[in-house]
Amino acid sequence: MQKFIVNIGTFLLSLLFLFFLNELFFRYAEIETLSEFEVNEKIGQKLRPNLPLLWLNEGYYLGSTNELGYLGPAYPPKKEGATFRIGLLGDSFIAGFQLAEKHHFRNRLENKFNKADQRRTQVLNFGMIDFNLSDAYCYYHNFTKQFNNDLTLIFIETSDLYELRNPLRPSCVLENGNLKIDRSFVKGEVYQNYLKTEFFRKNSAFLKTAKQGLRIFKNDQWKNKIFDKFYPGKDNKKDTLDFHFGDITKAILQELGQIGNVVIIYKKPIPNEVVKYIENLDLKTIDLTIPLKGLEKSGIDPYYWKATNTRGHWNHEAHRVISDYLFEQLNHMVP
Amino acid sequence: MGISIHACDDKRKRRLFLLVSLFSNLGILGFFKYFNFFVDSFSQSFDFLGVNLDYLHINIILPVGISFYTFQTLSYTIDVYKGELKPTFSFLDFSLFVAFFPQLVAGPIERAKNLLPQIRDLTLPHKEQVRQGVVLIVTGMFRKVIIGDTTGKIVDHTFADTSLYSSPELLMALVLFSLQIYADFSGYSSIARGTAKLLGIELMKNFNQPYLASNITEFWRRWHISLSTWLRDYLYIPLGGNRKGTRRTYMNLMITMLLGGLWHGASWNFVIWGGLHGLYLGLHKFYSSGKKIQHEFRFTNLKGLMVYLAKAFFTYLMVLFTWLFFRATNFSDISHFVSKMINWEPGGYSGRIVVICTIYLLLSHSLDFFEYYTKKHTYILRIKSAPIRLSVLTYMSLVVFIYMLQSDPLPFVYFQF
Repeated sequence: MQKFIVNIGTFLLSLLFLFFLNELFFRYAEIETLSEFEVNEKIGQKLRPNLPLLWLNEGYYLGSTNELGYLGPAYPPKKEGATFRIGLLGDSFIAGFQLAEKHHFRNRLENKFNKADQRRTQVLNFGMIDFNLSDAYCYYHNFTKQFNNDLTLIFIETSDLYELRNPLRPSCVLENGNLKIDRSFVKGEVYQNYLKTEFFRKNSAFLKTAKQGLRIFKNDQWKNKIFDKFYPGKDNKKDTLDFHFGDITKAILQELGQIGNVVIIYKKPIPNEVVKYIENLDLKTIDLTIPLKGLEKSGIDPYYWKATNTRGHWNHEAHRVISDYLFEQLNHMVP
Repeated sequence: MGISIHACDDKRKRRLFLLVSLFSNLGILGFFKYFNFFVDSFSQSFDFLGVNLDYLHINIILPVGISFYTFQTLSYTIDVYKGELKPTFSFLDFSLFVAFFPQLVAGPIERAKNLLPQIRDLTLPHKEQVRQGVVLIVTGMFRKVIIGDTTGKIVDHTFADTSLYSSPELLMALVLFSLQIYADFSGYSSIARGTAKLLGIELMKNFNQPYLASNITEFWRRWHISLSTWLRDYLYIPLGGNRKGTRRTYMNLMITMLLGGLWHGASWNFVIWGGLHGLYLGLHKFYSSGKKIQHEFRFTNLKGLMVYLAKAFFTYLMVLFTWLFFRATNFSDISHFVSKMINWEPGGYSGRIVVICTIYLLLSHSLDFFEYYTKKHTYILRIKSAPIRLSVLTYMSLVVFIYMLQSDPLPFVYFQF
């Protein structure tokens, strides 16, 4: 019996030691990077400052967040002299974890402005994964406003207008017809669970891998992985929601219109009623579907990634034409 | 054909049968693998004369593993011709020899004299074979998934368009490719050997810590052993080997390596890869003539260790350069790469790039070191404590399973050959 217990103990200790070594290997070989988010009671989910990131998806990103917790160079909240600042707010298309920072339209746009203008221009990338319009609005008020951007570009598509809540972010609510930022997520179960596991989330790369694996297991996608084409699989198509132009979305757009320096950028076609509503608010807009369609007409798919032979986020060519188009359009708006 | 060769006493007829076998086997391989390559090459050459041969290009689906089982079949016929092997009269045994599934698609390229007798006298695997088989499968999967796939993803992205990346990123991709191809192919070979052991069959070792080699000749004695020995026995030696004078020796070496390169794929890249190795081997032969090539990493003092490390590093660098031609898909990528190595274009994150490469190199070399130290690919079985042995196997299996669950697998590199 004693021998059995010693054997079990040796087995477990040795396994623990190996997983510790594995953690070091995963982290320093950057097979998986540490969780890119931290959750702040005021801001909700935000990028962790100074975090090295290596993403391998349809594209490949080797970079890091800056010391202030956003992407690109760390420009401090206080501006120097006559610097002109443009803030970018939007989802993973804007975050651009598919290509190097130097190829991102943020960098290209900044370089174009700085070449063309005597005045120094800074473009700040506040892109976050899974950001919708409501998230962007809250993030603007809770975080990005302090950077004194002269222009804020909010990138949207139809799916960003659904009034969905992320349990780790503040959300917008209407109280007596007034738009308010609701931070009740801090009382929610998801946030409480986050607090309990925060240490492991922030410090273990392998547990992040394991968590993603577990999610795939729970979602029954593992059969696809193991049996490949021999497993017919389920129809994984999500039910597409019928678009409903909600009151909260309308209120957010109204508020953004009142800010005065916000430009709405259409990533993909938007329902007509939204376009008309935005036009009536005197909100400036830029339609990126124009340069992207142009690219497609020239025979280049803006969403195609050669290395993985998949379609996904904007590729290098798309970032190039987007920066060209934004530069051209913004030139008319910049004082 | 083997039976006909064996049954025939007439030398000329035996030779004729052999030639029929060689031409039919190589003809099939040539058609499927090299037809378009030669058509395209001729087409480009005649382009300036206004002759267009593009219409000759046909869309051919390459049968999986054709290079491997063609060479395996050839070895059978040649061995029978040379009288080193008796042909099998069982079509089933012969079919199993050619299409033995664990090594069908990517080797090791087995010799008939090793595999056929085992198939003929097939027995259930014994306990030790099962233990070794399981360990080989687990360690092979670990190499393939945890080193091969993880490095391969970075490599694939970088080589998809080399013009997009800075010099350190390109260099990292090349270093990681050197590890990917080794982990991927040696991992596959281990899995194949392990699976075969579970069926009671012993396959040959295909890799023996090649990156620990201190010279290029030794590297080729440790890299893709089943192919290098095949080329030695069925091409280099029949060409005359080193028996027909110095110049012929170098020529034979070069022909063997060029054809060895072409064996990998119908592309000039592979020819250059083979040519570079031929050149290296020739140079090494020239400088080490008369000296015996060491098979073990021997050193008795610190100075000896330093000399060995310097030689191993130099050998690795030479091999690393050849991998560029192996991995790049076109000459424009190669040219971008070389140009960025000469006109160094620094990018950010160089420190991280060095760390990533070092960690991978350390892991890969550690596994090699265990193999070398225990002289076994089944080094885990040498751990005396059963709970620790079990924990290593459990750890490797769990990590592989978890990584495979959350990541899309990459196909084995050598499947394309």
